[in-house]
Amino acid sequence: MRAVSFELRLAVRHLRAGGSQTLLIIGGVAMAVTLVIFISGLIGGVQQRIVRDITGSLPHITVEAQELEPRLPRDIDARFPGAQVFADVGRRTYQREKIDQANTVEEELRLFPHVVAVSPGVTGQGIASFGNKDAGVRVQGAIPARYDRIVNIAGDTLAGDFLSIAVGQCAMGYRLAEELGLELGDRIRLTSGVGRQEVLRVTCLVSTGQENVDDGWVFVPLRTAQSLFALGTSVSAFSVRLDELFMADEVAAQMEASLGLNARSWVEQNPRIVNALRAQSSSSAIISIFSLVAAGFAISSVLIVSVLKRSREIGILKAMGARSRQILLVFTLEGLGIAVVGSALGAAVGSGLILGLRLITQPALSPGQEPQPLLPGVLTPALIIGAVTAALVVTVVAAALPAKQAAALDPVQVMRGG
Amino acid sequence: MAEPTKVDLVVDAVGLRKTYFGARPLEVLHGIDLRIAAGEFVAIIGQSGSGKSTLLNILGALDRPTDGTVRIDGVDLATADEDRLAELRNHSIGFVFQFHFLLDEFTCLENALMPLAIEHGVPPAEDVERITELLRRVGLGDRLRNRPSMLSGGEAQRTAIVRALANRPRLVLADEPTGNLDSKTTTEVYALLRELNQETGVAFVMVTHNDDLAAQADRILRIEDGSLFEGR
Repeated sequence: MRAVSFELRLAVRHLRAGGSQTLLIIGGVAMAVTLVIFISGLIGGVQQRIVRDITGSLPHITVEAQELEPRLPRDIDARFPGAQVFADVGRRTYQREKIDQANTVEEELRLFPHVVAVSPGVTGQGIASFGNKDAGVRVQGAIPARYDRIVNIAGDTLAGDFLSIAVGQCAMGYRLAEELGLELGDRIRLTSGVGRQEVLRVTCLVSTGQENVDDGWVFVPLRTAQSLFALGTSVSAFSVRLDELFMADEVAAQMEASLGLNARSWVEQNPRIVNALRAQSSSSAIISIFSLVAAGFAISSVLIVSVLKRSREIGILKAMGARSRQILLVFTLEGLGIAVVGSALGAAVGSGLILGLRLITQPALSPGQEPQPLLPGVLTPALIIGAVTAALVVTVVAAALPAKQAAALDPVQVMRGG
Repeated sequence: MAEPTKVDLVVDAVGLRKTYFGARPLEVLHGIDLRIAAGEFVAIIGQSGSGKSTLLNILGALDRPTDGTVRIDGVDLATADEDRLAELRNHSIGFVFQFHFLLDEFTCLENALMPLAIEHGVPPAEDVERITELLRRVGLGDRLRNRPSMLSGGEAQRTAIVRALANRPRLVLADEPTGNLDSKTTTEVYALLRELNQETGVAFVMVTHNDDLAAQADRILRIEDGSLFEGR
C-alpha cells in the first residue's frame, strides 16, 4: 500500500489538474480502442459470415480416392501412327477410384485430431428430369442424419423432412424444383453419369442461401447413390467436420500422408476467398496497430509536455527525498490512468457500436432464411480484452519515455532555472 | 559560543571543493571547512555568484563535492548512493526556498505533509495532527484546506517552513526565504524561523542578502569567490 499511495495520489491530481487536456487525451485513447474493436469486430463478423456461408454447404474436409495416374504410352492405342506418345493426360471417365472398406477408412478418419463427424458418401453428376424438363444436377448420396452433422441441411429445410429421406426419395434445392416446375411429392427421374436411372419422390425442399445447392443439388440416400453410380458397397468420398475450421489444411495433410487418400480442405477448395479473408485480417490488424500507435504518440507527447511543465515540482519533490523511481512511477501511473479510463470508454463505445449496428437487418436472401444483420459485427471477450490490453501496453510504453525523462531530472538544474 | 562536540555536528565539511567541468573547468568552492552544530542558526551572506547556492545544494545532499569530505547528519555524501542521499534529504534535511514552491494541486495541509507522504505514502495520523497544530500555530489554522493559489505570499512561505520541518529534520536550509516578501512579512517569517529553531533544536542555515536579518543569526558566514569566512 505504501508503495503507490503517494505516487497514485500525485498522478491522479496531475490528471485532474490537466482538465480538458486530460479529457482530450482520454478521448484519443478511447477513439483508438473504439476503432480497434469496431474494425476488428466488423471484419471478423463479415469473415465469419463468409466462412459460414462457404462451410455451410461444404464439409471442412473431403476425403476421396487418389486421382488415377495418366495412362502410360504402352497402354494407349496408337491413334496417330508414327507419333511419339509420352503420356495421355486427358481426363478419364471417373478419374477417381472408389473407396472400398468404407467402414475401416471411416474408423481411421475418426481418430484424427479435431474430427467431430465423418459421413461416407457418393457424389457425382447427373440429370434430373420432370415432365419434359431436364436439369443438370450434382447428386449427393449419404445417410441423411450423418450428413446433417457435417452440413446442417435440416436447419435449411423449406418443406418436408430432410432427416427422414429413405430409399426411393430425395431432397433438392428449392430453385431447382422451381426450374423443373415440380412440387413436394412429385416424382423425378434421376440419371447418373454412368447411365443408371432411379425414379425418386421429392420429399424435401431446401433453401440454404447457397446458389450451388439451391440451384442444382439433389440429395439421395447413400444406397440409392451407390446404385446410381454402380459402386456396390463402396463410396466415393468421406465428408469430415472438424471442431476447428482453420485446422482443416493441417488435418487434411495428415490424412493424406497416413491414409494415402486425397484429402481436400475447404481452404484448399476456396483459395481466393481464403486469401481475401487473410488480406482483410491484415488490413484490420494494420488499422488497429496504426490507431494504437497514434494514441501512443499522443499520450507520449502530452506526458512530455506535462513533465516539462512540472519539472520544478519534480525538483522540489526530489529535494524533499522523492526517489527517481517514485517519480518514474508517478508519470507511468498517469499514462496508465489515461489508458484505463480511455480504453474502458473505448471498449464501451466500440461494443455499443457493434451491437447497435447488428440491429440493422437486411431482408433474407432466400425464402425460409432469417433476416441477417447488414453489418454482422462480432463481439467476443477476447476481442475486447485484446484491444484493452493492447491499449494498456501501448500507453505504458508511450509513458515510459516522459516518465524516464522526469525521473532523470536533476533538482539542482531545475531549481536553478527559476 | 562553545565549540560543539563531534556528536552534535549536523554539518561537518572539510576541504570542500566543487568544480564544474565545462569547456573550461571552473572551481566554485575552494576547500571550504564548515562545521554546524545542532540548534545553531547560521546566516550565509555573499555576492551573487560567490558560491552560496552551490554550497547550499551540497549541504542539502542535492549535489556532491568534487573533493573534500562532507558529512550531513553523519552521512558521507561522497560514498552514499542516490537512495541513501534521497533518504537523507527526506529524514534529515528540510528546504525553504525563495519561492514557496508549493504543489498547486494540493492543499496547504497536504503540502506541509509532503515529506511524510513521500516516506510513508499516507502520513501517520499523529504526524497529521502535529503538522496541523504547527500550521495553526503559525496562523494558518483557517487555511488548511486552501490551495496555494488562495494563500498570500507570507502564508505560502509559512506553509513551506512547516513543510521543511514536517519530518523532524536535523538541518533546515533556507535559500533567501524572505527574498520575495515585503518587509513586514519578512520580519514575521524570520521571527518564525528563529522561534522554531530555538524550540526544536534544528540547525538552520539561511542564505540571505538582508544584512539586518543576518546580524540576528548565531553565526554569520561570508562567501567570497568560493572561500568561506567567519563574520561579515
